[in-house]
Amino acid sequence: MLEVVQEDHEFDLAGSARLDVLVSAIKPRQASQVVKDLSELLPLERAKLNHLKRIRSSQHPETGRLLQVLLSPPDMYHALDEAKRKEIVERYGLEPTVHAVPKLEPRTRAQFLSGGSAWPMIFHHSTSEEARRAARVIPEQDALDAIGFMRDALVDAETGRQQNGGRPTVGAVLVDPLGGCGGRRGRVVATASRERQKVRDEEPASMRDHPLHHAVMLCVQGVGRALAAGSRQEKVARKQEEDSAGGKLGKEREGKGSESLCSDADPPGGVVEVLSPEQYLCTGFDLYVTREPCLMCAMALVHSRVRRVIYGVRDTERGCLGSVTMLHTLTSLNHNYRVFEGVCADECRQSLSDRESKHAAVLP
Amino acid sequence: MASDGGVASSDEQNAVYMRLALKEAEMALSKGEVPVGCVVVHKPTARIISCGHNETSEAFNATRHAELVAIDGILRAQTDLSLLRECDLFVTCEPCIMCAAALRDVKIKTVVFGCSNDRFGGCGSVLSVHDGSLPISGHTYPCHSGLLADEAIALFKQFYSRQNVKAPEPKRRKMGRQEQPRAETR
Ligand SMILES: [Zn+2]
Ligand SMILES: [Zn+2]
Repeated sequence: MLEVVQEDHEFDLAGSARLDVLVSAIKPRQASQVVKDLSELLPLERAKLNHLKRIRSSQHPETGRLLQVLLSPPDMYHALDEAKRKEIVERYGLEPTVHAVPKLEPRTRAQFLSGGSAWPMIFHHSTSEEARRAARVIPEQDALDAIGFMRDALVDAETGRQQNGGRPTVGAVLVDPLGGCGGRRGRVVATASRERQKVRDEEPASMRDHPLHHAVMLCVQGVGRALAAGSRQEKVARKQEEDSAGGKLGKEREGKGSESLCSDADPPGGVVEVLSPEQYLCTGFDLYVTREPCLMCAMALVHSRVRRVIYGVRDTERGCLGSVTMLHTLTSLNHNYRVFEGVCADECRQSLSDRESKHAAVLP
Repeated sequence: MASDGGVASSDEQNAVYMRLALKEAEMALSKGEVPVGCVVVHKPTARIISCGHNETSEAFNATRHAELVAIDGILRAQTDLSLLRECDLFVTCEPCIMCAAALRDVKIKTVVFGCSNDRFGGCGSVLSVHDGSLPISGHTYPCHSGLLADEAIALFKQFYSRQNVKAPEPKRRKMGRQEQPRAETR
């Protein structure tokens, strides 16, 4: 079980990490007013440059202290309303010149230091890769649990193969790591094959071979279904309380809702049908999938706020959590999950192989 | 990056389609959903074959974006998805990375969108999924941006001002914030 992380390297300011922007010298006493005006006229976040500071202060060998202000990338500056641009240029005596700065947010100390020589940057330690690397060592028990749940994903893949006329099918399960019962840490809250069966049972036949019903999408849909069921149940219960006019009863029930997620009604070793509406989307859940997810699925998991994604083998052609790209390292997204690979890799490879060698490709 | 222009021949017709997409977005807004809507137009016949709006809250599923809802609608109507090769999608907000990838998979002909999606946009804003910048093989499609963008943004502003009014409601946590564009986008 290996975490999929980006390589640590310095910013290549002569190459891909370079962005040309306009800067200008200013007088020290103008600094705070310039910063204020520019935050309205040319906000750094609009130029996706909020990792850079607005002002750079340096020592000039001849003239002493030099204060420079970062305006914006040239296209943004020139797109500014003519009158407004003139006004600010005249007010502060700006003389814009081109300067190379790091295009991206620093993720490591090495990047922070190498980029900082070009322009001062802001370094968010909490999201930095170093911080994540420190926490990268997975407790042994977690790794053992992961094998157990990947076996569940392999069972799901086998069920999928049967559902799909023998065609190799990716298997996936969503797991609530805190919802364990019966000696097992965590419990499966959705499987792709169960949701696939639901679609077959409840939807028109034309939805049967939906090209976007990848195993991951089906799992997310399964959680949605269980949450909707939970919400309906809660509404019914609330209605009953209101009908019996019991303010006391209401309080009692509230306490119940936050009790252990495990109930006797859950089938042993099976999947839950109902999730408490207290649960927000897939927050805190871990997704186990036999093959690296594609871009659509990887982004669906961002939207769904999962905690971790654990996959068996890579998909070098379409996988977007390590192979083609690493969506999970895109810090501009509002949510990032951690990704691990290589759990039960041999079994997953076996599961994805075409035993009858008559099928075109694996069903995603 | 999404390109402007190239739709000049049918600008007015396109605006008609986008207004229908905006109507869908308004329906989402009225249900408390993030206001994004879309219509799928079969170009050769000028027929609208599907429409949809965001229903992430209703479905407890953050993937129920307007685009995916509309694709489901096509299948439910027993129509073959291969028809999408001749279809344009009109959507009020730039498709997110997930939808942009899905639209490649189903081989949409063209996408026309209103405002940009600075946080999740997959057609130029965060990633360029539509045009094959990423080394992923398969169908790609052109994008045209900015059509009636102000109206799409106005709906978002309404949505977020309403959200703030009923803020002290702990359970409805920012459901579906995924498609929030910044009002200052254009
Ligand atoms: Zn996928
Ligand atoms: Zn989307």
